[in-house]
Amino acid sequence: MNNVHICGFSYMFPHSTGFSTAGAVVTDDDISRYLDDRKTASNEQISREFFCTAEKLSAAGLPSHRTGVSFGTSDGCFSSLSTAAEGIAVKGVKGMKPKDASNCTMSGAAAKTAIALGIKGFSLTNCDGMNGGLDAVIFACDMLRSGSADYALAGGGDEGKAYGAVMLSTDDKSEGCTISPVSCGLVFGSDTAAQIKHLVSCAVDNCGTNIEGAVIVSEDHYAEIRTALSEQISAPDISEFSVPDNTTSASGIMAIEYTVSLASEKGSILLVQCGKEGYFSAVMIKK
Amino acid sequence: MKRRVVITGLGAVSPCGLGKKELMDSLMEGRNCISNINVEGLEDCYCKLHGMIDRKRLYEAFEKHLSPEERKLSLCSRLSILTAIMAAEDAGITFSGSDRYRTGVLFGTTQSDQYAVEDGTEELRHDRFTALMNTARHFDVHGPSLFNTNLCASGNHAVAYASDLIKQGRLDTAIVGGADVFSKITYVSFNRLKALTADAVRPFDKKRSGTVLSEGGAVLILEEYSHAKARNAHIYGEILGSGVSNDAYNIVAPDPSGQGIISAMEKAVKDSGIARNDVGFISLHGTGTPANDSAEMLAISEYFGSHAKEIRATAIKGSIGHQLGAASATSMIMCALIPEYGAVPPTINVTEPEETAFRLVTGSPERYMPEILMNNAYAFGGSNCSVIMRRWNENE
Repeated sequence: MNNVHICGFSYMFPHSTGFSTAGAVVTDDDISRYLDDRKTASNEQISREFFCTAEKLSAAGLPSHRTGVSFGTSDGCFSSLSTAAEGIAVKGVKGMKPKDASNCTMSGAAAKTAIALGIKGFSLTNCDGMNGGLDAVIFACDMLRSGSADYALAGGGDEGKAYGAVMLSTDDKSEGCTISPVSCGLVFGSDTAAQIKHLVSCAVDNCGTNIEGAVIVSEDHYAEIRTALSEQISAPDISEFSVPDNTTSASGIMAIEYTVSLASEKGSILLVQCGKEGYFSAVMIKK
Repeated sequence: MKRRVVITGLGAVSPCGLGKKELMDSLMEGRNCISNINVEGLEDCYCKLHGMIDRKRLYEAFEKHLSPEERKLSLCSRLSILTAIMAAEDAGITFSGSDRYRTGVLFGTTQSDQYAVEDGTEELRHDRFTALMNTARHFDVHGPSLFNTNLCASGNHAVAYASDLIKQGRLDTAIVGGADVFSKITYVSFNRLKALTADAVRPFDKKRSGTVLSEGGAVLILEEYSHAKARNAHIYGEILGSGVSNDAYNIVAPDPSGQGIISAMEKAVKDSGIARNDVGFISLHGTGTPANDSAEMLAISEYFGSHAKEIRATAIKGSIGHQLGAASATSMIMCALIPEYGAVPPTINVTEPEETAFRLVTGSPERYMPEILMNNAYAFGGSNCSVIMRRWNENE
């Protein structure tokens, strides 16, 4: 398996989130430039916003066939779907224009970003809710680790909310921290503490290294995850990453950046996210 | 030791009926399962064809197989659970003990419960992607899972990623597939794009004029070989490998050069550890649109060269329409059943076939037992995914 390095972050904050980043941030000028482009101005909101975010990370010269894009979202192109539904309800077939059709595809944000940036390795969209961003990173990691691609743009976001993207690479010359998936699963029902204990146990077993600390992102299961980690990691240094305001599927990207800042000081940090939809995802981030 | 992935269970709900047998028998008979629809507000659509699941039988099946709580779930959730129950029963598998954490659910969809946006079902409008979680709840399984929305290729993506997770040792068993139900928005979208036909789906016919949308759910049980062997499961075939690519060309049209399709097939062959000349059968994406079929013909001709003439191929959308998120999972089920039936189902509605490099099976089923089968799927946005299956030998 190849090592996957984290090479940079970018964000778009349509509203204040209170999140502090060392990554690139989309500016009003970037958005104006995008909207002035006749080819892209008519794209649906989520495609515009994710593309603006991803473009900040796309270095020239990425090998198109060896680069992929992976994106996670809770709600996809909801505003375009709503507009289409209202138009059809009022005017029938004529209530929707052909361009509206391309704006009503759930994979539009990743696909249009891939088209604009010439990415031909892979493109995948997931709808794993709050964990969508982190799950997009995990999918991209798996593609890179298996050798299917060498670079990937992975991110998450939802219309009008924060967007985050991370550039991943298997290039060993990269100086960034490495990231690897260590446990994924589903949490639901009445015995969530036992489920989380099992999934955390898998994560710890798969880390293959000393765990210097852990970061938890979970509004619903924080205490259960903390208890499980405390039981299974010696001298745990556990911190909570509170999901910033106006953030949904981008929360995992922000949490990765926060975890990278800890790993840069301490060595190896486990990041665990469990969103309200029940997706549990854990990655190991090493200096 | 290398971990191998085998198919042990199949569940299908389609316009042909309920269950794998009704699906495959219909395909073998060359039945046309498309009908006219009459939906209020869509009277101006030039295409009035659709492949609907028989609602009476579907709701009877919900009544029989789903719990009272599950019967209140969204339509896509109910369809997914029902189809997964069929697949699990076919596999003779229950997920208990540690298996619960070693079993994942990987689904694909185009729109899922998108009708909620249209009819104002408030509690579902922002919660349209619950089918995977509700299916996992039914079986009480907690392994790695992913719900992808890679549209018409999403079922293949689910099979491909699940196979990788099993090979890597992160799963022993996976419930994989796709599901989609009727959505006015999608129906009007395809009408406005003039991607539909008012006639019939005629894959690889010179007179092809578009596709027809349909509904469906298709689920396969994938297992690590020793897990399946230990419980003496019936094995349909082995998933050898897969390949993905992206056209980066257009959001609603394939790259006419077929280069993205070639890349996916090439990667799948490499991942499978076979030679391209080993491929004996291809389940074509074959939407019946002029652009899709032209790109697919060119890609297969260019990639396989002279070997293409040895490859039997079929496209089932003439019979059952384009099931979107369920389409490639249904095709995967067909691939799994071809060795069982000992024949390849025909591509129907073909009266003036294109001069394809491959041997398009038309008219009636062709007796044929391919060793290596390839399942191709492509989607709006340019996502391509090829999956390769090997026929199972009972003596293995």
